[in-house]
Amino acid sequence: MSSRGTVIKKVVLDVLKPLEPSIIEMASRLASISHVNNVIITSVEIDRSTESVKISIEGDDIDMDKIKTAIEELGAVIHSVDEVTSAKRKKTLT
Amino acid sequence: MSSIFERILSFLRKFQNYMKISKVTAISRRYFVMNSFDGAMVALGIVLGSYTTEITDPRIIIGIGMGAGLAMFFSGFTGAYITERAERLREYKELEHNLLKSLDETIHKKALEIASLWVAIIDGGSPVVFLLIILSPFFFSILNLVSLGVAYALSILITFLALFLLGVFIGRISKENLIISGIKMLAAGLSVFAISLLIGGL
Repeated sequence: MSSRGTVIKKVVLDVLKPLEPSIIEMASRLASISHVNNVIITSVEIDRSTESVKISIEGDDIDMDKIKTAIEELGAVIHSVDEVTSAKRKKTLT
Repeated sequence: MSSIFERILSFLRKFQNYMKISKVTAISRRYFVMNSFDGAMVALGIVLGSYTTEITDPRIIIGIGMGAGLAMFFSGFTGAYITERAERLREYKELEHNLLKSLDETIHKKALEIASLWVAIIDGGSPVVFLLIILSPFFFSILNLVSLGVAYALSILITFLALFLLGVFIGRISKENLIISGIKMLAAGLSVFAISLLIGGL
């Protein structure tokens, strides 16, 4: 979760996942999380039972805890966070 | 109303996902064909055996059928559950080893349990369903809706039809000629029929 004054706009993760669920199912599961606008998953390496993928997630206020939980529920492991884009939270008029 | 429909739909989607993850679709299809064939053959055996030994009380035939069905269900269910769970667990542990993490709180653990149970239900349930369908004319005979002779004839006809349809189903899987595949399965039933009558006539 982003801190009060800032939001996470984009993260790129290096993830090791089982072959099933496929990257299509993984992408649609991640895209269903609130504030996530785009999910791009690229397969990097395929093994006998696992697959290394790069997951790029874009949104207006990405909740990292929700992303982590969703990835772990699918049986995958986050190896590293390779890129993060953060920005100041836009002030809304009340 | 729509929420119930949505829940059912969501359950079916999850169920389909579990089947895909645990890769049991082909196995359960195989078990379904193999055990339905077993069930149909056992039913045919009971019907022909009853006919050749001149059993005239449909209750006896139903009783024998129920006993055989129950035994087939428990044998199929427990056997398939234990062996399939062991197979799935092996793959599951291998995956845990490759990922270097526990998969206990993941979709994979649920898939393991549900898929093993599903395969066991198919394995134990399919012969019983076929057995009950084939013996169903004897239920009508108990209710005096059909005579015993008609029940025997109907039961044998249903068996042949069931075997033919199973053959067609196999033909659809292998993308072969459906009629030829159906006839192959039917030939097995006809052989049992001929041999039983021959032995019964001696």
